[in-house]
Amino acid sequence: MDIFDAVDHATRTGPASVYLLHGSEIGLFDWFCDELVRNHRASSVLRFDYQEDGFEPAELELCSYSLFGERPLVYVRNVAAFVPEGRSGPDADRLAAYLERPVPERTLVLSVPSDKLDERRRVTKLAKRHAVVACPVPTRDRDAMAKLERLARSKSVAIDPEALAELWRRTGSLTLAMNEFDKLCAYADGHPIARDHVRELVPMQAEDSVFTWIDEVVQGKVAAVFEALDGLFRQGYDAFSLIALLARQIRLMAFAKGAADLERRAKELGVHPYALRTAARHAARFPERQLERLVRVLADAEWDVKRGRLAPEVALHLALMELAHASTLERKRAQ
Amino acid sequence: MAYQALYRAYRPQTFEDLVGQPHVRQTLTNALRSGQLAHAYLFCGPRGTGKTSTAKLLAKAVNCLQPKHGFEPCNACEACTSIQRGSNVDVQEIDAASNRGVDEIRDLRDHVHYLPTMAKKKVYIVDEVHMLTPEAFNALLKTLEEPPPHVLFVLATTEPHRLPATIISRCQRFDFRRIAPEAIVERLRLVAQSQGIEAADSALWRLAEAADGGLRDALALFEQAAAFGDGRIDDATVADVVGSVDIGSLVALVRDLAERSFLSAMERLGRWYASGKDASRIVHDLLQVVRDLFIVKLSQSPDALAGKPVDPYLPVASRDDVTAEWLLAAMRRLGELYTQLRYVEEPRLALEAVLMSLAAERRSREAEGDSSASIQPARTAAAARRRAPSSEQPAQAAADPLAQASGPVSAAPEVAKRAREAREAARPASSRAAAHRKRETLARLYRDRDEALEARLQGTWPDVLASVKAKRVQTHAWLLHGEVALVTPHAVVLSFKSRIHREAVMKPADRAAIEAALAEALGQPVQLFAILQADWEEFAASVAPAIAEEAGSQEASDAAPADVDVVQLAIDLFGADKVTVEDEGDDG
Repeated sequence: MDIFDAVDHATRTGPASVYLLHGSEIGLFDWFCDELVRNHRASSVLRFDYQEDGFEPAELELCSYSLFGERPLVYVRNVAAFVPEGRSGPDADRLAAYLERPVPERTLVLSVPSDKLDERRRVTKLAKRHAVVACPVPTRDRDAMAKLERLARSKSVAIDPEALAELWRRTGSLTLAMNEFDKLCAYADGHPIARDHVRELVPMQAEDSVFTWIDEVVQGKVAAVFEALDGLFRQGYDAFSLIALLARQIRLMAFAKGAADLERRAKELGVHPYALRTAARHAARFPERQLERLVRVLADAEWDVKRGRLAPEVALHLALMELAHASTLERKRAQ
Repeated sequence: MAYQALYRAYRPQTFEDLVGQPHVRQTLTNALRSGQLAHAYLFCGPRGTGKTSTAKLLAKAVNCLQPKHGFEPCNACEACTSIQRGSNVDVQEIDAASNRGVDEIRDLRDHVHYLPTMAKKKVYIVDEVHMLTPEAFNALLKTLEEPPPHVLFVLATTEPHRLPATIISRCQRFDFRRIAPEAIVERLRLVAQSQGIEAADSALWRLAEAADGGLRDALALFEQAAAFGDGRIDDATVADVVGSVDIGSLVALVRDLAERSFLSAMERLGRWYASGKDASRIVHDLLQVVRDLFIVKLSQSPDALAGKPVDPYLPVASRDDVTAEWLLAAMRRLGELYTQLRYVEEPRLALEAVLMSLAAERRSREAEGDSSASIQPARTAAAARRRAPSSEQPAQAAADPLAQASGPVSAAPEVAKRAREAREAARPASSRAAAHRKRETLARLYRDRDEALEARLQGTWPDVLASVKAKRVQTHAWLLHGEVALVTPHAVVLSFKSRIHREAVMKPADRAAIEAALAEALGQPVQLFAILQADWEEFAASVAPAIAEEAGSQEASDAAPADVDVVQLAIDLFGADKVTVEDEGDDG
């Protein structure tokens, strides 16, 4: 079940006794609890950590009657009993017993930050009798944008569609994107969040920065490339891994060049079709022989580092200079 | 009052003072004004960019009793002054590098629930938060998730990628950027004025560059330079303090090389040595300057160096004789030297040799009259040599030792021309010499070829194989892949498709077994040579006809020019006892 469907369903028919949320988008777990509290009679959220507290304190809370009539939502996170690496034991048995006979009119939300559950476990089979909600990272941009819009609406955040797209491009995760809403709102100071605000405040994710950087490298934007290089080093990339990343991208471009069926070529190469499509788009700027030359330049850089002839940083700088030079020559030739 | 280091004395005390982080300033002041503060902040960025200062500023702003404009700390009330002094018990600065265990974090967690003693909010500033252990992070997580309303967490780190995603997702993250040199220079100017220090603008720029975007480093260097220069800061003082050579001189050195002013370049180098600079540092700085010159040359934009002024570079970068190819070659040579310096006994000599070769390269390239030709790095040229000749890169194709393998054969004019081109191509002298020797040996053997003997050996080849098999089974297995290529009265040349087989038969024991079998078959002792089949075919196709023709013409007339034998020349020059011929093992 999708998390948004689960919220809608709970709004219409009232919350279920047990929800199991699992997936990489851990920010959605908190959002889900907040939405349940906002839309229903639960007064607040009581949070427990399964790995630290076990299930007993949560069970005690669920099975106790409140003298004041408050029925807080009970949220237990990191329930490792649902994943293969989690240990079974008395806590898992308690949880299984509760899942067999949950307390009516109370809501228990369990979460585990894993996209896959261990289907062989008894607790997993019992949890499937209730509502199991998957929260994976959206793979399609369109889905992600729809979900982000919904999240922004629920948090009363005014944001331009362009800004939302930029936010998704930079974060690549609903959790990280949601996390930026408050900061962006404070920065925009009551105005709708614009794309420039996002550019100013939201850091690029490391992989994305590398991707943009590679794009700049193949376009021969020498000044931008060296400026961005410092940022990449700060993010923890070392020169040799950047040479490898560049080599991979340019090799992909060479493979994508002239391929009649990109999907098939992607399957043959064992890469994601999207990566190959992007590489093909980049490769359109270069003739095949130029791509060959660029691959050779990077292979030489790797060779020079491995034989101890050049320091990795110098080899990377040299390779970037060669790439920039090649790109400039190509541009001049095209003109 | 005790003396305070400048970077402490000039810590920003208001948001207006916060240098180089406008995005952080605007967001925090808006949040303070609207009262929508987050419960946890994460400040990331390189050292000296203002993370801890901002955290302290924020602590003052949330606790100030009379904030100006609703967000600016007054720096006069008791809360502000006590936080500034570091005596406010509700604002705690924790060094996570030395308090990294779960016990310390549990202790913190226990204290979080008590209300503040004197301030409005308890502020925990956790510096270097990436140093916490995974267990400590887990312990912190629960507190970060739902802290009491009177608590504000500020986590600061230089390495945000080492934090768990669960921590990052519970904080409002701000990325502090490296401070632009302009902003650092502006701040240094202000400090110089208020401290009564005379500072040259160019010197302040140099300090800002050396600080690499960190204001704290810049102020520390500034303080050091002021002390060294006795209240005056100029380029020379900064160069001494920073320990590097100033950019103007480095660019001037590149200009000297471009102009081939050897003497001027050497004098410059001598002066740097006299002032205590070492070769490694000079090469390091020179590498940066060459890279920057390249960037300026290619991008031709006033903002090419990300805020660093391009003026010192422009006069040299815009020169016609400073080509991008030459700068690439310089980068490579200096880069190689930078790695080799640690093994060199005379670093200065090595540096001078590289600089001279760069200057000389300019001359040789001009002499060629081909300023637009691309200087291929050595390995790229080597790779190009490996490729088959194509119309795209005739120069590289000509450099292929197989294609132009007729070095010693002067009779074929076209081949000789290609050999000349090959000599001009950039490639290691050693491999060129080895390939040359190999061709020469093969050519000599070819001249002595005895076709009758060759036919005899072809006929008895199964016997040779059987004889080798009786001696060494393993050698027989290798030899099965060989073919007789050439036989002379004293030598037998075998060709192999695979390099592995070729090398295997040349091992002493295998070679001895084969030579013994060949001696039995031919009735005389012979020397064994093994080559790759591809090389043999190449040689047979291109060089052998020329040799045959040469042999014919030599018979007709002795006036034909003789082949130049380098080994013979060396023996003639130095004497046979001084010359040792060694095969360098190049795969020919």
